[in-house]
Formats: sequence, structure tokens, C-alpha cells
Amino acid sequence: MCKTFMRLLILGFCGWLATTSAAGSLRVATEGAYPPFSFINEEGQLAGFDVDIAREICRRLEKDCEIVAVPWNELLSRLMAGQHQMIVASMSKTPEREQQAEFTDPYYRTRNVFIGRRDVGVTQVNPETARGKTLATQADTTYAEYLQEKYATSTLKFTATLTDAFTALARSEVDLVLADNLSTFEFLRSEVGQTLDIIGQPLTINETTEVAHIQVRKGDIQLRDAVNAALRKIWLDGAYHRINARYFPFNVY
Amino acid sequence: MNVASPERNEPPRRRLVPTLLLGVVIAMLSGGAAVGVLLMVQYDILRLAQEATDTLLPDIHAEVRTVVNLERLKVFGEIVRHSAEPDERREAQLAAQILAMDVVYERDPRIREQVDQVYSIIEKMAAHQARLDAVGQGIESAGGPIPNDGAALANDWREANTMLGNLVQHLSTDAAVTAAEGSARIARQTKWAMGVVISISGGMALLFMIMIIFIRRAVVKPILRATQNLRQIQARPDAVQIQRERLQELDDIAKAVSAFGAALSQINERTAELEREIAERQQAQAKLVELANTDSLTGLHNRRYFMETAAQEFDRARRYQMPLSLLMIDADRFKSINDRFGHHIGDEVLKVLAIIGRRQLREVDVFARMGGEEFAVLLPQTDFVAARIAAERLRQTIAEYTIDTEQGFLNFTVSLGLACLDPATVDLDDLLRRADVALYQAKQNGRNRVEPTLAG
Repeated sequence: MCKTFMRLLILGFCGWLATTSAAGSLRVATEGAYPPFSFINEEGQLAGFDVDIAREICRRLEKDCEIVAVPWNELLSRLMAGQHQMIVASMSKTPEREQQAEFTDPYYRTRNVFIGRRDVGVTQVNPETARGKTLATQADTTYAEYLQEKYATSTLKFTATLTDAFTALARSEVDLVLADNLSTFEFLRSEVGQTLDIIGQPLTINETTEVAHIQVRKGDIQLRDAVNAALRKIWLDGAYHRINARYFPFNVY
Repeated sequence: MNVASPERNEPPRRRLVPTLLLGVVIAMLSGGAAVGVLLMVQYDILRLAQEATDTLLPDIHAEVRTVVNLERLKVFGEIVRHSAEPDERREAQLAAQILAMDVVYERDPRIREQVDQVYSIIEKMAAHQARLDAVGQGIESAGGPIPNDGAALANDWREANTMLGNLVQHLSTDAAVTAAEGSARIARQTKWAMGVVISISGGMALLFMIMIIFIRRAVVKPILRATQNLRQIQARPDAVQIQRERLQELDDIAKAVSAFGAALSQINERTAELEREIAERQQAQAKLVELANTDSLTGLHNRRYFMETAAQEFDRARRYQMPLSLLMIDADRFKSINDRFGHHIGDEVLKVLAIIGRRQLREVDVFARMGGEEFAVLLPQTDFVAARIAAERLRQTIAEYTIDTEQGFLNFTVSLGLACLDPATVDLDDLLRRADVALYQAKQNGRNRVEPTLAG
């Protein structure tokens, strides 16, 4: 009886040690090539809305975070391999992704739009009007999947990053780019984006997923709930809005 | 004792174990119910709190966001309307366009509708400003003359502003009301939970007290009473009053104590009775024995007793080689005394003989009337010389005694035959025979004398 109790006590103590030592640091991955959510700034540092949100959440979790840039198509596989414990990379929820990671509550939302030259000659983009045009978007995304499914009659081009797709559009290598309206907003107000515009109405909601979540390792319910609590906290105490104001002139959630 | 008859009219008593079990079951049930109610109320509070974080909070948050965005939409509109910078106007219009897209997430259709309207006005204003710019730069519009719609647009924008203002007002209040309602519901539920907790703990305490009082009154006290009664019964079995108890088992105990008291009292009575009886019987028996061993006339031992005792004394004397003497005494001419003075004087003579003999002889000497006027004395530890002296003294005392009768004074004498235990003595009968022979010899030799047995 006494022995069992002592054993439990020691076990509990060890468990406590383990959790507190683990609580020390956290590796958080972002894409690093998705302005204004994550990008490398003039000083060569990772910056952006996602990066700031990640830092704020880490502060609330009282953990030392190392934020690293990871190529988009390796974010989930590396999470599963344990190379990082959390992803803050504007990732939306799909059934396949949900099998690989634990999704938190959404932290911002967008609409998905096509952009192109004002004189592209299309007022509303659909498979009919886009026939024969070259459409581009980032590879391995819900946009890529959507285009492959619906726009088989158009030429499709998938780039490693969304920025690459925008660059291709600016160089007139492609006619239209499918992207979220926030990244688009950032691009359109930049110098190279001046001659471009949002073409037509946004895609219908649920045609592609338009809500961004944070991901943690599958089964790490404890961290997921802690992140959710931290999200609620930063919404309520204004930290989220300060970050929001840094990148957008309106609220993105 | 008739115990059964009064019980027939009594109400049936509760049994101890089922009653205690019932108490425990009631306590457990009420405790369980209390815990259940508490859990339900707590679950409710938890649910409300969860609802507050899961629904209420996002709702409030969404309303705040909408309010901010509506205000921003207004600002973007102002920029589009007033800014001289085409870049600024373009950015503001883009932002307004994105906000207008975002409005699809709003649940309130009024917001969706009105924001769409506002954005279309902003779009028109942007187009108007672009045309004005083109005119200012001297570029002729391809689309013909500029429509003079500046005044109409200004009016539209005023209306749009009012619309946005109303929406913002409405939403702000909504959020506050939602928040207040949520917290009020939680507060209500918490108050109710507190009431439940207080009444449950009060009820439980009351139940507990009732149970303790019941156990004390119906179980502990009766046991103490039974113990007390048992102790009292030991001292005075008949004086114990038994009180009836509430529970069957304890009543049984009380009744058993009562029955035990009654039984004990009966046994005591019976024992006393028996003791009395035994004492009486012993007395009667002693009397019978005495009667059997006593000569009724003289009060001396009779022949039967003498023979028994003499045999014992004879054996003892022989075993320890102690001296033993035997005197046979016979009143002289007793027949003629009877004839002359009457039987009652004869009896008187015998009595006198007995009295004198008893007075002169020792306690250890066995003095008995053997029958008629013949007496015998066994003298333990007495040799021939001492026995002869005793015999002589006895003869002399009797001879000197005078009985006063109606027919004048009477003197009488006795003859004595003495025999002593000697190695030649065969048995008691032998000794008796020799004393008889000596007595006969005394009579022959003239009476009123002691005749010893000659050795051999």
C-alpha cells in the first residue's frame, strides 16, 4: 500500500519533470514564402502575420519557441517526423491533412479569388471563360487540387510558392492566378501588382477551404487545447488585433 | 408466567437490522440523489461556461470584428471619395472589395445586403474619381461625356454612411446584450447551485442527526438499560421493572432480561424453600436417630446405641492396647419396690439411678439402660483399679440417696459387675458375659456391692 503510493508519487514527480522540461521549448514551422503571412524581411529574418501569431501564442504558452521556415510541401511530413511540434502556416483543413495532424480552432479567414490583368478579357472566371487560358497557383494546395478538378480545359501551372505564381503573372507568363484575397491584397498593392486586379467574384464558400488553422502533432490534444486557449486569450486582450493591424487595414477574423 | 397474551394486542415492532439497513439505504439514496442533482447543476454550469467560451465568445468576437470592419469600410469609402492620390484610392478600394467579399460570412442577411450596397457605391465613386482624373489630365474619355453624377453620388454616400452607422450601433448593443445575458444565466445557475448545495447539506445533516438520535434512543439506550437491568437482577431479581423497547430484537433482549429476572427470582425462592425443607428433614432425622438411640424413660442411651458404641470402643481399645472397663448395674430387689410403691416409683428409682450415674460418670463414658432395671457403663481408658473406684463411688452414692414417696422414704441399692479388657478377652460379647457373671456373683454375695471379674 505504502510502497505503491510511493511508487506513484515518484512516477508523478518524474512525469512532472518530463512535462516541465518539455515545456521549455517548442519548434514551430511556417512557410517563409507567403507574404504577408510569412516571409524573409530585409534583415533576413522570418516575419509576417503567421510568425507574429506564432510568437504571441508561444508567449502565452510560456515556451521558448524556435520558428523555422519549412517548404510548404514538407510541413506536415516533418511534423509527423517530429522535427517540429507546431505549424503556423495559413493551412486550411482537409480530410487528408486532418489524418496527419491535430487542427486548432481557425485563426483567420479569407475568400479565394482569381487575379489577372484588367484586360484579360474575362469578367467572371469559370471553366468556360478560362478555357485556353493559363492558370497558376501554388503546388500541393487546395487551390491546385481545385484547379485540377474543375479547370481541366485550361493550361495549369503549379509553382513552389505563391509568390512564384504572382511573379509569373506579373511577367505575363500566366493569365490568371488563384489565391486567397489577403495574399492577393498584399500583392496587388505592391509595385508589380499595380496593373493587376481581382477578376470577378470570389469562389463560392466551400469550393475550397478558406479558413486557416494551426496544426500540432496528431494526438497532442494537450497542446492543441493550450493553443486554442491562447488564441482566445490573444483575441480578447487585443494582441491579435495589434498583429492584425500590422499587416491589414481591416480585421481578418 | 403468561407472556404471550399481552403481546397479541401490541402493534408489530420493527426489526433492528432491516431498520438500520433501511436507514442506510435511505441515507445512500438521498446522498446519491443529492450528488446526482449537484452533478446535474454543476454540469449545467459547466455547459453554460463552455457555451460562453464556445459560442458566446466567438459570437461577441465576430460582432466586434464586424463593427470594426464596417467602420473601416466607411474609412475606405472616404479615402476613395476624397483622396487625390490614385494609388491610395486603388488600395482603399481593394481593401473595401475584400471586406465586401468577407461579408458573406455574416449571418445577418441585412449586413450582407447593406455592405454590398455600400461597396457598389464605393466602386461607383472610384470610377467617378478615375474619370475626373482623366479629365484633369486632358485625356478625353473614350466613353463619351462624363455623366454629371457627382451630386447623386454624394447623396448616395451620405445614405451609405447613415446605413453603416445604424448597423454599427445595432451590432454594438447586440454584443453587449449577448454577453450580459450569458453571464446572467451563469450567475443564475450558480445561485441555484448554491441553494441546492446548502439545502442538500442541511438535509443530509438533519438526516444524519435523526439517525444518530434514533440509534441512540432505540438501540444504545435499550442495550444500556438491559445491561443495567441484568446487573440489578443479580442483586435483587424481583425488584427489576422492564421497559418495553421499540425495536424487535432489543425488545426481545429486554423481555429475555425480564424473563431471566423472573426465572432467577423463582430459582432463588425454590432454593430457599429447598434449604428450609432440607433443614427440617435433617432435624426430623436427627430426632429419629436420637429417639432410636435413647431410652425414653431415663433419657439415657438405649441398648442398641450402647452395643454399637461399645463395639467401636472395644475395637479401638484393643487396636491401641488401651485399658477398657465395663460395668453392669442392676437395681436390687426392684420387683419388690415396684410391688410396694407402685410402678411410678419404680420408674422414679430408674430415673434417679440414671441421674446419679450421669452426674458421676465422665463425658466419655457410655451409660445406657440395657432394659428393665439393668444398666451398663463402658469406661474407655479406664483400668481395673480406676473402674473399681468409680463403681464403688456410684454404688455408695446411690445407696445414700433417699426418695421421698407418699408411703415414706425409700432407699435402694444396686449391684455392680465389673469386667476389664485383658488379653484373654475374645470379643465384646465375652466382656459382657463376664460382667454379667460378675453381676450375678454380686447378687449372690449379698447385693449392694461391686463384684469384679476374677482374672481367667
